[in-house]
Amino acid sequence: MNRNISLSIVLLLAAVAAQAQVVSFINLPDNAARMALGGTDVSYDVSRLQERGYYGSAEATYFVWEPSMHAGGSVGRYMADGYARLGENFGISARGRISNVRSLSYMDDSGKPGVGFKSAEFMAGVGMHYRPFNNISVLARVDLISSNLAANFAAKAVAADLGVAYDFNDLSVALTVRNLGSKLKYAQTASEALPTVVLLGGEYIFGAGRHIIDISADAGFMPQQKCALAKLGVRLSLFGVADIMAGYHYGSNSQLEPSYATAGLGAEISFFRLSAAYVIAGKSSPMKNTMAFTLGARF
Amino acid sequence: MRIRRLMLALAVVALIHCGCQKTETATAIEEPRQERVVTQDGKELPASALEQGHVRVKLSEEMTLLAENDPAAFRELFSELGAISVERTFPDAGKFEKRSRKAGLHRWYDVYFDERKPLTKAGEVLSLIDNLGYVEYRPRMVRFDSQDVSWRSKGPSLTSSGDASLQSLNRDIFNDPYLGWQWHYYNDGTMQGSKFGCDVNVLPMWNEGIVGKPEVIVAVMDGGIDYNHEDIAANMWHNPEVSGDSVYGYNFTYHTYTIQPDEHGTHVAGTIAAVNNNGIGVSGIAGGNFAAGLPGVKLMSCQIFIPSGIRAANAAEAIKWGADHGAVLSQNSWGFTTGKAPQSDLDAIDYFNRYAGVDENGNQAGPMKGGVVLFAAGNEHYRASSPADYEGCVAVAAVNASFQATVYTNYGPWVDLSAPGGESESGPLILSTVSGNDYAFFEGTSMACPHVTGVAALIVSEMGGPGFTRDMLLDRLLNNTTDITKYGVTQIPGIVNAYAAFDGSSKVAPDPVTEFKLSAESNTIKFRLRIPEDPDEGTPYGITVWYTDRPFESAADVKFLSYEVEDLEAGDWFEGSIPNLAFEKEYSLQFDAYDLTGNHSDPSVIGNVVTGRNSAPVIESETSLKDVIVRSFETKLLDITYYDPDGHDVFPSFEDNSKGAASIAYTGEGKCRVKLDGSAVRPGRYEFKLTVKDNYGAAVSIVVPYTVKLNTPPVKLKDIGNIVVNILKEKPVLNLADYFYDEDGEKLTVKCSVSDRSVVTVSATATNTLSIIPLTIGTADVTVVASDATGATVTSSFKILVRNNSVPFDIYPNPVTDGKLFVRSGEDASADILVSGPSGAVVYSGRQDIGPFTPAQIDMSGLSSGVYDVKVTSASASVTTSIVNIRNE
Repeated sequence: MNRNISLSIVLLLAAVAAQAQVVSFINLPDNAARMALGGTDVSYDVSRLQERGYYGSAEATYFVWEPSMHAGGSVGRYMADGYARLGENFGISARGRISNVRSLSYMDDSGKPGVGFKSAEFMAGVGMHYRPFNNISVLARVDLISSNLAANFAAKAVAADLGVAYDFNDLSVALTVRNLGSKLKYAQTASEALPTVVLLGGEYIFGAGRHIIDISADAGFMPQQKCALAKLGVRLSLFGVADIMAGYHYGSNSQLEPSYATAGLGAEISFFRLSAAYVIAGKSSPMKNTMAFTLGARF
Repeated sequence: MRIRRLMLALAVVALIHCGCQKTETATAIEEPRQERVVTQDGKELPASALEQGHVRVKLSEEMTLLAENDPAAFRELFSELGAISVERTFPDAGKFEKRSRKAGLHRWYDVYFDERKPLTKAGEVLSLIDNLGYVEYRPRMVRFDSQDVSWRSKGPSLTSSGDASLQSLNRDIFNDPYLGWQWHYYNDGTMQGSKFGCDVNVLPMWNEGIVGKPEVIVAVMDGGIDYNHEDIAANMWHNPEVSGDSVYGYNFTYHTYTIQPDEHGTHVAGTIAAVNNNGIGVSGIAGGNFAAGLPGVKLMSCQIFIPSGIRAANAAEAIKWGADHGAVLSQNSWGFTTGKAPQSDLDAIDYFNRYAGVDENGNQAGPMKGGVVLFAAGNEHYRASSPADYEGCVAVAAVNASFQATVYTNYGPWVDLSAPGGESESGPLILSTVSGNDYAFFEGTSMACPHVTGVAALIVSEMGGPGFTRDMLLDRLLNNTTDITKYGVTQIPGIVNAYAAFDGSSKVAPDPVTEFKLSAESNTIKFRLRIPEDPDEGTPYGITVWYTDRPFESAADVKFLSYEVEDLEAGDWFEGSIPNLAFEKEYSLQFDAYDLTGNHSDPSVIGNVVTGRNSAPVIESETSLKDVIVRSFETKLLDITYYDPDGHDVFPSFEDNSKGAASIAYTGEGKCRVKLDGSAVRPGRYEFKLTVKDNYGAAVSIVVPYTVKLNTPPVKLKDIGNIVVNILKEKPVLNLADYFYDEDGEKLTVKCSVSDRSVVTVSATATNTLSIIPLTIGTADVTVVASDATGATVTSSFKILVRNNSVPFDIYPNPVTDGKLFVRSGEDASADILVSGPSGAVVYSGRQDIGPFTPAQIDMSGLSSGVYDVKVTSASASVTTSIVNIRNE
């Protein structure tokens, strides 16, 4: 896929949703490299079977999330991802995420402290990758979500991701719908829909030698929140062992996902891959200084 | 009123206590019986030896005021405690009440309970009354014949069962047929079991015509005297206050004038004053000479036992009654079963000793100034007996007919005299009258004691008169006895000897008074004289002043007063006064001196002096009595004193036209306290009037106008503002005077209510401050109500925020469940607030003015459930925290 074709993606922007998204951690990119590429991951996620250079992978990611908003240090988010090609046209994947594991201070309605409480959110899922035709790949995945925000406020949900990708030479285009599923109900009187998102993404690779440039872009729409988002990433791979990455995430600064720029580095030594991402955001943005680190292996 | 409320409250507690005890008794498992004891004067007494259902209380001064100023409340108090009745031990004594009060007898009260109630419980209940006074448990009274002396026999000529061994003695002096058997008066040693001289040696007295005089009254504290007895009736005392068959004394067992004749009482009385020389029955020591027309001493029957002897009365009251009715000798053949004599009885004895023979003005009115109380020593052969062992009594032990102490007599150094009591084991007994015109031989110290009483009556009859005192009598009785130590008897003193007591002292009168000076103040004459010498004794015993407002030589009713010179000696100047004379009148006076025997010197020359006029009493007060103002909330006390410059007794009276505001309490001699209670009447102008009269009619009055002012309600100067309290180190104190003010100047009552007492304690202190003590972090609404005595109030409400000021901002609640997030600071500030969502989006950002009671509010209702991060930044601090938002709609 050594093409010197650039792909321009028209980004459709919509009004910012009226509400933030519940269990938003399930929409984070799978690893630090994708975070460094502005979060672009649609084609990467759906068209794994098109990449023939390995039979499986496993990686673990740690996010240093919004350190400027936590005086006592950042609140970590942990992810693990595994993938295995089981044949020429079939593969499976599994993933898990842990977020918001922290102790919080209880305060009553008058500001009187009480006994503290803990929050924790989890997600675990399995996916099936299938290539019915040479240029087409599909993905189906199911995730189980558990969100325990406080004592007596916990909810569970099941989410499904569906995606299809088309690969043509060095271009990959994918369409995916994520987080179709049941609602979360924390309180007796309200239930909240999962942050369903429809994403269209593409990735194009320039060059076929020792150095390549990989450009990826996603555009999406969140029906419940009625807001749009867009992501753009560029990766320069040098000698096949080092990556320099940059990206931009465009979102709603007020209610959905904020806009920020990203930068990252990656290294590949034998089976192992190490990547890091750093979020560059405005001075007042909570996202500033957010970082992610991934250690993985391909085999 | 405070005392009354306090006592009533205690009474309720006591009743509850008693009720509980009763229940316990009904349900308790029976325990081994244990002797109940009560403690008095630090000594435990067995309750069984005490009178049941009866205690005597000497009230404190404060309680006495309650009893006399509010008798209904006083009785209610004891009624609530379960008492059946409470009454003065010594009833109001009329003209003698003043000296009764001086002796403190008005403070004694008898409290009667149900006799089935344990005495210990009664004592416990009374002990709950604060400042009640001294509680006296009452030992049982016994008449001495009720124990060891059961043998008796009729007079030999009156019964065929008489003791044949008794031989009649011949007596020529009186024609009383049984005098020959009365060896105890004059023992010639011819009777079997007797020795010559073992008697009271009264025959020589009779031979000299000394047989008693009716001026001497002897109170017989015993069973009733048979006042109709043929051999006694002529010598019975007649009470001038009553008539008919009620004149012979008083029955204290039933509180009636009707006397119940009793053998023991009649026997005792007959020894003292059975009628002599009337050809009937026996003789009495001071029974007069009927045939010669000479009446004997008078017998006053103070009945303190019913005829069976098993029920006794209030002997203390009876002893005092005798003194107040003219008796100068008190004959007592009874005692207590245990321990020391009760103080109330000793007080009565002291009263008799001091006031018998004295009128209400303190002047000698009888044949002797002061009385003598004589007690039988008792028949238990103990070393003690009460009240006989009291130093204010003359204790009499018993000897048999041969100078030996009887087998039954009590003994010891406290015994003052001995007298024949008879002894059935060794010889003859004591013959005297008994009820029903009968005669009998008795034995016992009960029989010995009236021998001393009779001798004493005989001596007073002969020697009594102006200046004769109890000390003079005692000197004669105690120092002129028949010695019995030569018979080997040492445990009891010598036998009373009538003739020796009469004859064994001085016969030489002192020299006359030659030098004196007279002056007058109001109706009191003051004199000063030089004490003359007594040729044989050095110094006279006393001085007698004779005075009259008429020509001295022609006056038939010259009055007198006697004074003991005490520690002065011949040649010293003696000063005295004669009070209560007529005003502005010329008096003539003469003086003489007398010795202990009663020998009076020749009178001095006559002196004359004119008394002065009567001055009105004086009323004074250290407190200003002009323009007295009482606010409607307050009580004002006015201490007023009054006295008579002439020294006369004064009598205050009080009037008030407010019908409730002013009341008076007499707080001591010449002192009163007027209480003005502004809350008792409507505002207005009133007056009270205090009038003080002396006992001659001179009076002075003061009219004190006073104004009860209208109440002014309190006002609020300013609101108490909201308060932030740092729980770590602050305990604010507010000065309430900065917030509330009462124009009347009264102290306001402040009450505080707090909406959440777990957060903070707010209380008003005695120093008019408001103390705030934080307990935990939180907020509370506080209402402070200040009220004056009339109930007018003023209110201030405020909030208190208790927080940890080391934390710049409070971000609450967490979790947010109703869509509202607040940010609060310890002080007013402007802060940037940023709230980021779970995905990093800024869901809120803005700058707000925030304060302790005006927190910033952020609407979280439109946000999804999740963990949000909040950052608050002010000029001085920055805080970040995480909160959970739960979407609820």
